[in-house]
Amino acid sequence: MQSRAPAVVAVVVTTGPGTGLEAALTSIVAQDYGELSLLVVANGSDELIAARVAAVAPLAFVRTLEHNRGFSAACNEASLMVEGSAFFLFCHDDVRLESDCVGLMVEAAFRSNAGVVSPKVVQYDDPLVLLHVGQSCDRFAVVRDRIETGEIDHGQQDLERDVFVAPGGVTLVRTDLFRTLRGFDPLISLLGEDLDLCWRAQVAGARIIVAPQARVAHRETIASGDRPLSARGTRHASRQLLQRRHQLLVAATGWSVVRSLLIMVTLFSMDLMEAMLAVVGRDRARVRAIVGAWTWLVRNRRGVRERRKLRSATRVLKDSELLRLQDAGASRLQRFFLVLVREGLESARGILPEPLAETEGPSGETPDGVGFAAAFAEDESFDEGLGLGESRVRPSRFLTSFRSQALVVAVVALLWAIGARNLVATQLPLVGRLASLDSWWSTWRHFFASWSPNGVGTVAPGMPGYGVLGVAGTFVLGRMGVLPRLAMMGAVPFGAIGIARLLKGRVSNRARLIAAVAYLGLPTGLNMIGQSRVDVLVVVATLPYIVRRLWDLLDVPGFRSPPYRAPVPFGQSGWRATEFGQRMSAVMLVAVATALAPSTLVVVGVLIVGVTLARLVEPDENGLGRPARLLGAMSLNVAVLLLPLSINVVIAGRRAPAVFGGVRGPWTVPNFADLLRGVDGGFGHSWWGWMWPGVALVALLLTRSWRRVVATKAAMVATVTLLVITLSDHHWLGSFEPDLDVLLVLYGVMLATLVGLGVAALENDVRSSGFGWRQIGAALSVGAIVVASVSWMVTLGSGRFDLPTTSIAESLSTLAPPNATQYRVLWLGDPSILPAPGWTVAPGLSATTSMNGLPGGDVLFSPPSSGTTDVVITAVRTALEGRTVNLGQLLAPAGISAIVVMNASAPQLASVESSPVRAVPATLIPSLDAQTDLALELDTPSVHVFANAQFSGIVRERTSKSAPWTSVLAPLTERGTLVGGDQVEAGLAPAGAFSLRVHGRALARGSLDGWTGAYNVPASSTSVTGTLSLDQFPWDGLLALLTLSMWLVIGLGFGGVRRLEWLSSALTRRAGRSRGAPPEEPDQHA
Amino acid sequence: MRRSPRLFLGVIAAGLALSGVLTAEGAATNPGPSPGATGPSAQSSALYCTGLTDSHGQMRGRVTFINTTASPRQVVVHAVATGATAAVATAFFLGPYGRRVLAPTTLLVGDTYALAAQIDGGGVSAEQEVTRTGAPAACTNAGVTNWYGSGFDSSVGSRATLSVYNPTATAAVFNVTTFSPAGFLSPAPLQGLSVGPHAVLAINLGEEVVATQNFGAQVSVLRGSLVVMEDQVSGTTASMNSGTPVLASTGTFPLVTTANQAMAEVRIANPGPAPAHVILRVKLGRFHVAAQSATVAPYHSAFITITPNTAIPAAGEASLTMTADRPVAATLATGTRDGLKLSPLTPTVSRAILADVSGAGFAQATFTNASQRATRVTWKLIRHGAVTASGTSPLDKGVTLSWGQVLGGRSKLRGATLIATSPVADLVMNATLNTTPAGVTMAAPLDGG
Repeated sequence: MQSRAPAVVAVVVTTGPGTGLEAALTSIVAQDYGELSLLVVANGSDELIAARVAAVAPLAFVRTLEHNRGFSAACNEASLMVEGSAFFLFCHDDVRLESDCVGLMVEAAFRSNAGVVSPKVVQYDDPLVLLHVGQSCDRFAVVRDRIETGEIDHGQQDLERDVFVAPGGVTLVRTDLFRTLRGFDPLISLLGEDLDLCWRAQVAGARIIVAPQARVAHRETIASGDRPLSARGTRHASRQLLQRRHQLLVAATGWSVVRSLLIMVTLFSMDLMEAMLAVVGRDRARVRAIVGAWTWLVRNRRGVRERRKLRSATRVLKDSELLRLQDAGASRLQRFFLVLVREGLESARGILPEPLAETEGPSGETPDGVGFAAAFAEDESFDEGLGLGESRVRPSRFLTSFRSQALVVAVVALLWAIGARNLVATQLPLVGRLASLDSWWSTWRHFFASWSPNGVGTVAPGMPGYGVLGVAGTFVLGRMGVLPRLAMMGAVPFGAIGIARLLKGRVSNRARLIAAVAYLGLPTGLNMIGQSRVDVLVVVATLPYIVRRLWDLLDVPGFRSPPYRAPVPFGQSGWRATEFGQRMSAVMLVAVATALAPSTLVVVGVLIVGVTLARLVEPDENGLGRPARLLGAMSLNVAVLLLPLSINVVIAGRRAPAVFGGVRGPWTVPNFADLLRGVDGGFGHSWWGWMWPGVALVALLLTRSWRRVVATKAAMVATVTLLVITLSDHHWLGSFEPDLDVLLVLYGVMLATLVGLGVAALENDVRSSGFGWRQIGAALSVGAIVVASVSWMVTLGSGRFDLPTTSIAESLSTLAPPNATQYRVLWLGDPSILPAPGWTVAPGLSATTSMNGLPGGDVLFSPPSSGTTDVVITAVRTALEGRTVNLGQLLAPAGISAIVVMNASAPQLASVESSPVRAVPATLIPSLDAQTDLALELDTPSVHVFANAQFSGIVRERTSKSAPWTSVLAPLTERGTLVGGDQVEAGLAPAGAFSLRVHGRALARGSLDGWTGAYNVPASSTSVTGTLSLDQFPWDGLLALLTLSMWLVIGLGFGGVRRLEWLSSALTRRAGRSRGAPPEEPDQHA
Repeated sequence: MRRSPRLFLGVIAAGLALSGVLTAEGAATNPGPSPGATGPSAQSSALYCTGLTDSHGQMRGRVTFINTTASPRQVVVHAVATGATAAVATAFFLGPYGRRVLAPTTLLVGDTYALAAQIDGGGVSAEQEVTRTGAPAACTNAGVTNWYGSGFDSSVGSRATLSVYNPTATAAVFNVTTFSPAGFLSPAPLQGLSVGPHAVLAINLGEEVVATQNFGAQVSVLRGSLVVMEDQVSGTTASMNSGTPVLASTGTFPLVTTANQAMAEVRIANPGPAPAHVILRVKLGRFHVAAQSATVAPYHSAFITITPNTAIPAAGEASLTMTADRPVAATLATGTRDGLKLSPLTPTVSRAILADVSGAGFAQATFTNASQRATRVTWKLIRHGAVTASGTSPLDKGVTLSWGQVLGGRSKLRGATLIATSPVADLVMNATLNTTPAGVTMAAPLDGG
């Protein structure tokens, strides 16, 4: 009996020029398998194909299709032409088979009774590098390779095994199976057809294996973007879109109804999250791909239903059996979090495979210089990728594997979520700077307003902080209440991620992780949450990123790894990576933080001075640089970007330093021990507060080589910070009093940096020296890190980092006086606990006001100059000095109905809640007690409330000098009934900005009490209606508009111009189509 | 160029050390409250006088307002009284260095009076005087939240009253506790008392502490602040004791009579939980007198007799220096068998005023530098609305000088006002009125702010 090998028909689908076609055909012709026929399908007419095929494979059949309907359709067409073959070998035209490939695959198919066989696929140019050895897939039809990118083939995968997906390129399919499955799905022209076929084969009970002995080199020109998409229906689609929509189709049709529904809902949620992330990251292509995929699926719902019916006819495996063959979980989600943890958000956003060319650097290397596998390998040499020549002693493997690091990140994230659980939905009290924000619209209005109610009123330009809040509010769709909650929950973790990024590429991932944990555990951030200092929390979140930028600009060794890119026109792609773009990034970061916490600018100065001093004491290879120029340029640029604030500072004159914050009482500032631990609040007072500073100190002693260079900078900056805090807190710098807590944030960043460097020193520097004090210090450091990390968990107990549940301000229900339409409340207290920023009355005592109740979103920021509010401040100061007993009378023109003196921002409830007690000057309460016209209404250790017996309204009226005042005009409208012949006094400053109109006619304005506007109502037998209106040219609005325009221009610089150009061209195309013009051919070579 | 790491570590250590030293150096405590000021620089000031009664209360008297500045002042006086239905206000101008006498009984009818004077500036002082006995008491410029007095007497023929005025717009709540030789007493009717804004209240302590000699009292203000005056009627004598807001461990009574027929004793109340050992060192001319002492049990009261005392010769005025191991309330009681008048420890001030409001002049007038360093005292003598003399006198630490020596001759300071200022806030002025026997009525120096 004569036995013949089963016949195999190799179907090669070629499209366009197909530069690798000849090589592919040659390798097929050279196969040692006897029963192999060759059929070339030219997808889309190309007259040269036949000649080209004939030149290398004269026995091959050539079938030319008029239209390019994609790989799937071409294969289906070919299958109809063939009779009697046992197998189809579907091949791309950019592959190269080894001579025994077909034979080995057929053998494997028979040996394993497989329906589909895939070879081992290697890189075309470097056959040592594996591309695919079969693929797996999760329930959402997300394909995952079984090997790592760039993995070298040294036989480790040479085991025949079952796989879920046989990747396209070269696939051997049993003919009967192919026909049973009705071939490839014609809806899937390319990118995903292999997954769909394999899925259906699995469902039909066929086995899919990989035969690694069969080797195929694959160029992957479609997936890599080397070849344009030209199949019908794909010309305007991106690869990402095709891949997504085909995955959706597979997931929608591959399961039973119920499971399919469940999976699609889950998939929709994940895609929604990804789309939001892409919106935040301005990844337009991704958003378009996600939206396009879902709309495509909806459009093809009829096709989906048909396919479900067809597949149910061939279904053999149940869903549960199919699940067992697949990867558990959601591969994309897992990978997102892993990359997020390891490489940050920017990398995580791009987890979907992009064309290889885009991920390669200019020299053809991957950006990190190593592959994916190397990045996650348990090889510390990757972490020390800088290769700076230290001796390589194999370090401890503890916490070096990616899995363990990811586990730690997950645990820390979980713990933080537990620690912040009560911040998610519960009511946030009016503590610290948690004054409720106004609506999105009102916030913008404050920015553009010509008058603001700060103090007794001011026409100073609107503070840019409102603009920043307005922009931020836009991103949360106007839900302004979300912003402080986000800051409370996310600022510290965001800053911790910033620490990890600060040290990225400089120390090992383990060191970065521990530094980030240190930042999370340092008391500065925790205390700021507990005190609701949202302004400082903004600095906590942004400062690590600012430090990174500034150290780059200062050329701190290791922080400017590649030289800046060549100049790129403003706004074009890559501009951000240029020197100017980098500088502008730093300026923008500093400006945003400065707008909300002006002391950030001082922090920048301290940082630059610290680095310069460190270079003076211990020079590095980069010399001193030009720190003064950098500081000047930074200040100037920030001043320009925050123009309204700058103008306010100039107007303030000698009071300009007040922009950095109020003057705290020397008796409330932390002592030196607390300063060393970075403590200004309830957290960190215990012994474990010393752990992180201790580790930082040891780090300074242990580090060597370039780590020491960075450590000296960090240590010097920390020392200078402490000195500045000391000097300012004791008022030895005059009126220059930067916010202590903002400075402590810088100190915390430096400590965390030192901790990271310390861990790196343990890994590299300690081992290289013999046993001695270094080893003892290292052991102590490790112990301290462990203890500090564990002790940190103590802070998580309350679920809100000891943020009080109630506030003093909100408990003051008696603030509204009877019989008055409008009133002001004067708030006195230490500047760090006042519910709104104010002006300094005396050390430890600041004053601010609120109109008609509690401080709100209209007094979130105060200009440095108190302006007319000086009358109030001077009156309080006079009382404080015991030189008046009529404070109520002095405050009455301002319409102050109550004085609230705060020693703490929240009631002190033993074992329930507490907040820092920062006592006002001891002379204040006796001084207020001595006033004959103030009535003490509330007297607790935390707060004293005095009612002003002389109060009679902000806008008031009297019939004669001896008659009492009565309150007039309604709030908001400032309109009301007046008595003819009466005198009206308006306690709104400046008086010149307002006019009182009666019957549409402005009354002549006089002055009372030195600053208020006084008007005499014309005599009339009946009551008249008066309206007090702002009569001011909107200079402030124009200034705000100018500032906003500048922000917009700078924003466009970060790639916006390119986007605008795209938008413009898209609109032009659309307009052209609507006019009936022929559609433009896409430039395939663009 | 790489330098030794020691240099860098040294710089860091030096920086941290500097920061630590500066922090320790600059460690500040919250400054204590300053007393209410009536100094000439004040924009507005107030004076509160309480304790005078009508003739039935045996404390009928008058108030003298004294302008110690060269600028005119407008004074608005609000008078209230227990038993009166409404407050009465009156206003007047005080010319430069001028005086104005006001009898509350002429303003409204009531039992116990209180006057609140608001002045459109500073530098005005006031003194109230019981007309019948000439016993003076200074008006105060601010309320207190704690008040201590000692030397009360509720025995037969005596009457001890607390006159409480609320100078603020806040309704005040307070408790009264007494310390007698029998111990602590906190009568229920005297707990949680309230007095309305700008209202006066008279409390007859004899109703709760019956027939007790020499007891002390504490007024604890739970809310608001109060002006408290101790009205003591002993036999035919009546006096007012302004008490003290803080207890004292040290103090001086410079002009204590040792004359025959006179009586003088220091009455002490110990409101603390531990026994207080009180020592009085007596300085009397050339005589060496042994220190007098007493131990006052917790929450008890006691007294030390100075005159008559066999250990202390009758030789003019003695100077008593009190030291105690616990803070106590001490009052000097001087008089005759007919009755004793009470005088508190004189506070130390930087601007002291002594005014003769009776027109009879002083028997003795001294000033003492109670500080630990020498100082120079600048003084002005005002008579008939004009400065008639002024000068500066050096004063060593702890030294007491007689104004007679300073002014030359034995000036009685009749109708005069003496203003003394010192850079240090440890100036004590004392005087005794012209009485028989000598020195049994102490003058009341005024706080000049």
